[in-house]
Amino acid sequence: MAVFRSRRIVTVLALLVLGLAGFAFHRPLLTAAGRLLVDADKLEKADAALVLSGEQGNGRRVGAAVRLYREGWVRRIVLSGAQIGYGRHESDFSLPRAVALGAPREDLLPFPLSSRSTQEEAEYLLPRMEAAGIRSFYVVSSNFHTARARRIFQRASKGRMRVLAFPAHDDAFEPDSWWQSEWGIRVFLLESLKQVTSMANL
Amino acid sequence: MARLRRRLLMLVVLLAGVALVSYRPLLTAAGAFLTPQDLPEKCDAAVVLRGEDTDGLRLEEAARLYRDGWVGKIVLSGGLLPFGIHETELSLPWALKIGLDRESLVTIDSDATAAWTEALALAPELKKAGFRAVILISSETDARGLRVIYRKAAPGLRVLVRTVPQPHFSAHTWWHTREGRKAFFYGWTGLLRDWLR
Repeated sequence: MAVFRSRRIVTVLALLVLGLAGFAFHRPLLTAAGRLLVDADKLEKADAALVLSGEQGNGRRVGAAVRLYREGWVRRIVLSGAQIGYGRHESDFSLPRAVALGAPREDLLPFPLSSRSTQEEAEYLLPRMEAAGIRSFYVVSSNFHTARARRIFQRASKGRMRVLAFPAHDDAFEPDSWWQSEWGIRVFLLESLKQVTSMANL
Repeated sequence: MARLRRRLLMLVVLLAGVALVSYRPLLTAAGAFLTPQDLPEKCDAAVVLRGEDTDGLRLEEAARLYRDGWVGKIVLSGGLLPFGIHETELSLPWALKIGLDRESLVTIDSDATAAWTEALALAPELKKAGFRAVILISSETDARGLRVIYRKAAPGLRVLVRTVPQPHFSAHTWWHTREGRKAFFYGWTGLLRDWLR
């Protein structure tokens, strides 16, 4: 009985210490967890920037891709165009936005598609990008999506293409303070779950 | 202690056996729970909710209700899409294309990007328009959650829910495909959030 009691005390103390440590270090721990979702490569020359579907805000992803283009890191921009209803695709809107931001029309490759996930997007786009002579590219997506997106495209390309990641800022997710907003928490939880299912290839 | 453990083990084995034998009806029931469908009744308006990602199936259902005389108006809800456009910019031309007259259509724009914020934006506008009973039109896995949301966001408004077929989701087979499992997961997590809200 005394052994059980002392074990219980040790367990409670250990939990208390862990709880205090968690409280004291919650900021760096949560920041580290948030940064796990974000992937960013050092800039280098590549054939293209691929803007993934699922733009949430006012063209942040396209803006990031055009930046890569204008700074000379990529020669073309591929626009993934998931269906957004009523016969329209995201590329119907991202294309004029890219042109308005200064990317010449001849260097833009829009691909309207009916994919409903990053995996399906990769399976649809990669053969078409390869046929267009693209061997290396940046995956441009919302910051919280980049780690998973890169992994999915890397796996789907089966080593035939070099896949880099370039995150676009997203108002819904700040890696250093995501736990302070309802949207941030939602994005973090959902994306973490998707990371796990993507790693397990489910 | 040993007897309790044995009994617990038996219970677990029994439950596992039941689950193994009846997993199909259980999973079907879990899927069907998300997708209640009301029969049409006379209402003031059909509300085409934001989030359409097919070629206008929701609008077609609204047009059918309007032409069959169940509703007097069709409300097009215009949540925010990427690049700052509102969904009504797409749905209104589509509605005219399928032969609906402009007078039958009411557009309500908002910056909503989720069902809850959409309900908060729509509720006062529907009230202002004098609507007391509406038929919401959305996708299957949103149906149960919508009942919960509108009970909270629009008390006093009579709400029916009609759904249109959702690509990749069927209450009877959703667990067979990745997209089906995804839709089921989103439907249930959304419903739990709506209940807790």
